[in-house]
Amino acid sequence: MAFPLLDTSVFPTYKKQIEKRFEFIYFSTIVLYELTASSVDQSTLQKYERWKIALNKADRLLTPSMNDYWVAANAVRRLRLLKLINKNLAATVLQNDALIARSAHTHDCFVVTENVKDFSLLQKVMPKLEVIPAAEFFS
Amino acid sequence: MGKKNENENKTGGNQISNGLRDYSHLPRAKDFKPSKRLSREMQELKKATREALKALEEEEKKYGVSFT
Repeated sequence: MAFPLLDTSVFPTYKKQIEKRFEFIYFSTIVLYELTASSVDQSTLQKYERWKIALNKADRLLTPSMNDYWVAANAVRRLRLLKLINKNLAATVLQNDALIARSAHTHDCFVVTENVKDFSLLQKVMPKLEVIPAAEFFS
Repeated sequence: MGKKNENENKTGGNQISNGLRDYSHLPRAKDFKPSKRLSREMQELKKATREALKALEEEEKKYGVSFT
């Protein structure tokens, strides 16, 4: 069975559900980065650090490799060439979503997200990417 | 052949209305049954996850959501 990999967009609404199924859920260092970078309190930072260590020990933390960056960049490039995204947008547009998508594919996971628009776009250039809206997954 | 593909698209066989490819075959949260016994690593992860999510909730209340 494939396992869920959460996008950051899921966290505001589905904390209780995430906690309930924590042992089956995979997390990305990209998501941990976004949560950490947007945190304010020192106590939150310490809790995220403990969480990072625990996730890593339990083998639930997925970190993109050099090749994952390469494949993700090529996917976003194809979206530009196909004119599915504006060519004038910053090169970092869709970077994190593309890296999460790539990690999901390489670890036999599927992405759970509230951000259906961007991931449906990525599916056009990442044919094996599996995505499910969070409302469907946690229903 | 072309007609069949059209029908598949309409009924969710390939791409569905929200733009995503069909995800009906993917497991749902309820399909993952929590273990009765957790390993030491998983017990630590359970505690750390709960604390991290609680901290996130508190920050959302204090400062609002800023990462989406």
